[in-house]
Amino acid sequence: MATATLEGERMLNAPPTAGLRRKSIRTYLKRNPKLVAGVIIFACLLAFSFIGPLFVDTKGAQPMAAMPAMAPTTEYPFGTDDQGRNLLAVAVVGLPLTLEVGLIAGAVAIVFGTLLGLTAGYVGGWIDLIIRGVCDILLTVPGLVVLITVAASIKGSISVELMALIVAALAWMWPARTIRSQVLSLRERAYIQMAKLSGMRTDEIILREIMPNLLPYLAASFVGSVAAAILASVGLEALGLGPQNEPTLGMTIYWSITFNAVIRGMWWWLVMPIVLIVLLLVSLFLMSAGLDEIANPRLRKVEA
Amino acid sequence: MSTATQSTNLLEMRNVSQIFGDPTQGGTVALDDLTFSIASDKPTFTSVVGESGSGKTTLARILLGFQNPTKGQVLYEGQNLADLKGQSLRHFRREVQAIFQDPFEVYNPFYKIDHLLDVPIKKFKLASSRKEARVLMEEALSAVGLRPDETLGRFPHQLSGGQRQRITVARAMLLKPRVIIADEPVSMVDASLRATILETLRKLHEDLGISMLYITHDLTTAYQVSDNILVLYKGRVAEVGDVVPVIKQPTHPYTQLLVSSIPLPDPNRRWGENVVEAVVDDRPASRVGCAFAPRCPHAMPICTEAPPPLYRTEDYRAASCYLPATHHGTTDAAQSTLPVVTGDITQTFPPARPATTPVG
Amino acid sequence: MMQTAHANAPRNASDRPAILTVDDLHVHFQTNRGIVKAVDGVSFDLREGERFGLVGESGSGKSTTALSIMRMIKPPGRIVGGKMLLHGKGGSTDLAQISNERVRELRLSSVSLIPQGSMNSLNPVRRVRDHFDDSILAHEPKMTKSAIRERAAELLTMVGLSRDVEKLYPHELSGGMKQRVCIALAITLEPRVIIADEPTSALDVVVQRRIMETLASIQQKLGASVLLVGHDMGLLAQFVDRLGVMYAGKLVEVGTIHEIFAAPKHPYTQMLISSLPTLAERGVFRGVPGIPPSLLNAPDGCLFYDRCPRHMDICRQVTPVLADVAPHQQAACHLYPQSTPTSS
Repeated sequence: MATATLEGERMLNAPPTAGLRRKSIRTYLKRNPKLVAGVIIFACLLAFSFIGPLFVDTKGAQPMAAMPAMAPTTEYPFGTDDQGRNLLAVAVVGLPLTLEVGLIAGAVAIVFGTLLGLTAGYVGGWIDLIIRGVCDILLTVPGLVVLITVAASIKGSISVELMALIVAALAWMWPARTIRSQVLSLRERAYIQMAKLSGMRTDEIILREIMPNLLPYLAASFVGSVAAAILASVGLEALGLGPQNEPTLGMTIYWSITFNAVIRGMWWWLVMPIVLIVLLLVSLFLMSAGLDEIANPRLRKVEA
Repeated sequence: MSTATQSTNLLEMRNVSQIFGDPTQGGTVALDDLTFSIASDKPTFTSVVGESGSGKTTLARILLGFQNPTKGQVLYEGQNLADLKGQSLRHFRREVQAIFQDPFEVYNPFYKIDHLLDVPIKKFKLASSRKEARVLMEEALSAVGLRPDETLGRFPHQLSGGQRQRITVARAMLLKPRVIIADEPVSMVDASLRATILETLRKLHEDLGISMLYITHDLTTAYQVSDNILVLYKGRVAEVGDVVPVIKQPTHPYTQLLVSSIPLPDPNRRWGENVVEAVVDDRPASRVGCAFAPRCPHAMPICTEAPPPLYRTEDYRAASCYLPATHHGTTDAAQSTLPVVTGDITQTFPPARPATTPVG
Repeated sequence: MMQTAHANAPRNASDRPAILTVDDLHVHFQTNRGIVKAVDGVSFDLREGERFGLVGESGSGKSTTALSIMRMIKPPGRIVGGKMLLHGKGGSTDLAQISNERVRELRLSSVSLIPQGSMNSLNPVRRVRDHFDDSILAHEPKMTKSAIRERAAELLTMVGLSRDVEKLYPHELSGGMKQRVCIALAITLEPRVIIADEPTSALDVVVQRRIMETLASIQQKLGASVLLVGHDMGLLAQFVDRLGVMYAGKLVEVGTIHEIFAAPKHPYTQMLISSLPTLAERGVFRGVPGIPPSLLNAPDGCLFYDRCPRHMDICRQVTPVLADVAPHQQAACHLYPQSTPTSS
């Protein structure tokens, strides 16, 4: 019933999706340092990937491009590996490849997961039962084991895109579950009933009434999926199951371990890919945490 | 009146029951065999009163087609609600509208408040151009006492609860439906604004001939604004009929308890002067006899044996209680001279009369 | 729990000493669009054994006032001025100044709160008796388990619940029962002041009456003072001895409940009372036109100006002060010359 403090709180805490366009950068910085930090780091890495080739000859990522086993110098800031690859070039080439895997896998997972989650959540009934059942079963599957088995049994070399699909196949369940539970809670809202009373059809309601309120969750899920995909693909590659002919970051780790980089004192060979991957994952994690804060707003307390 | 009425009714519930779970094992009976209709020829203004758990919200949800009853049928112009699709469903939506309790929850926080008015105008083709739509919205907002330039283009969290609730009323006005189901429309609104909103509802009924179903726990506003009243207790009809006698001289002990618990805004007439006291009992009601028996100060043995029939104690009032029957000599329904209401309970409603009646 | 009309009639506590004095309280909320003066210079006394009501609509500041007394205002809200004196045998303590430690000691033992939506403030994974354990042990860590159980049983009986309720979890209780548990918890240490913030807001009329009667009997047994905050004038008319009417962060009228209903002095109170629905007439609707003002960067003068049917030019320029306008009544309105501050 009428409660003064409830009214007050509602007016002070604007919902995250209202007036999305109008906020200034400074406001975001103040309110959500995690998100901003994550975006900045990610943007730097992106810039590195896109602008890098303008400054570095990408052919340097091939073997015999330079003197092998060189420690970092001004000419070769990341040094070279024992096959003569310029590791700076490898970074410039490998990072986008890793990103590509992550983004494709993340996108596929989120699109697939969202469609299923929306359907299961809004339509309910036996469709929900089936989707949920499949989801729950697949969630119990030890992802990495399956990935390793599949990757190891593919004859010949895996392409980056194929790797992305394999990873996505096991990554869609989490977004599906998250979106489904959000939809379940949104479905009973009074504004959905209003939409029905206003003559909207089911598909219109899902798209125009529910989806916009899912955006924060979608964003957080997407970032989470990308991070998980990158981790999975790097994991596979580090075990040697990745594309053999592409200088991805994970393969670089594999080669450096296989060829005993640390024992031979070539620390730069292992450090470069690890640092880049860590930076990438940290930026994604920060973004995900920041988006989570937006997606689970203080509103939750008010609505309880 | 037989239950097999020709369907000239706009909206009708026939023997509707809503049961959650298994009643013999702790499940709830939200509504128990209710037959109720809203006529298409004469608009009515009915209050549905009861505490939480009485079934009044379930009633609203079923009438709006948001819930399929466990038993019984809901008909719109003779057609079963569950069968409506496409054009006929849209027709139903156009004619049966609602105003909800929470002035915040009815707005999708992603959109400006214009969205609430835009969508129905578009979907029900109430305007042929953007300009016309805008005019319609501005007129409706002005009619409820709001300034369009201060409300259109704002987000819900930028307006007060009272403003938001008025906009939902404006929406109902815009649509000119034939029935409005108002579920506690003023309980989350400031006291100073309640009268204004209720007055608007009354005007919608009188000027536009819209039938109103006013669901509330506040007997005073029910008395003020409606003509007929339905008092629900644990899913069953406790008392029904003309709002004036039901509230001024309640027959059913539950209604008496409700009326005596009203906090009158008069420091000279405090609680404690009123006689009716019921034993406090929070146990779930037994469904074997009268649902109110465990709490009733006048309970008799028969009250726990069989549920009392709905005795028509006056032309325009009925109560499901054995007491009036005892006053007529016997509790045996078969021998009692009191007529029993079967079928549509709206037969106990009085014919329309002017809203302002002097005290009496 | 029958109250006879005689026992329940409002009492005149004007001869009794004050137990709580709120003096010129100012509570501001800092938002990124400016300052919201939620409570703007509120002063009133709560006397011993008295039931004082604070009524107002959304934005009036009544809940903020109650929470301030309990020092429960969280940022972006802050108490920026004024005193809240709790009077006792050893002197007076200014609740606005003391440390958080001291506040915690006083909370529950001297001043306790039954918060809004308190039924939802019970911990769902703890039984009722655990709730009692928690509050008692926090203040009397030396008490034995059996002594605590005894006290809990005593309290439950005082609020009309059976001892067995202690074993139950909150979700096993009805709304009314939960509220009674909250009242029992609030009186555990026999505080001298009980603040009840909309204690019956989600309950239906029958349960509401029971709860209020329970609160009344508790108050009489303990000899405590009750500050009841609410928006339902009817409920307040049934329960309190004196009433303070708040509007837009200020107290606009204070008086005995009889006086306020018989002869309200401030136009807002007058309109509010006449807008109340009664069982005396049907079809008559008198609302208060307009909307409550925004408290954001509020202007000078009386904030009721726009909605007041009797406003004058001075109302827009000079803020009226709360002054005595009748033997037991105060109002803040330029219609009464006492309310217009004479400039030095």
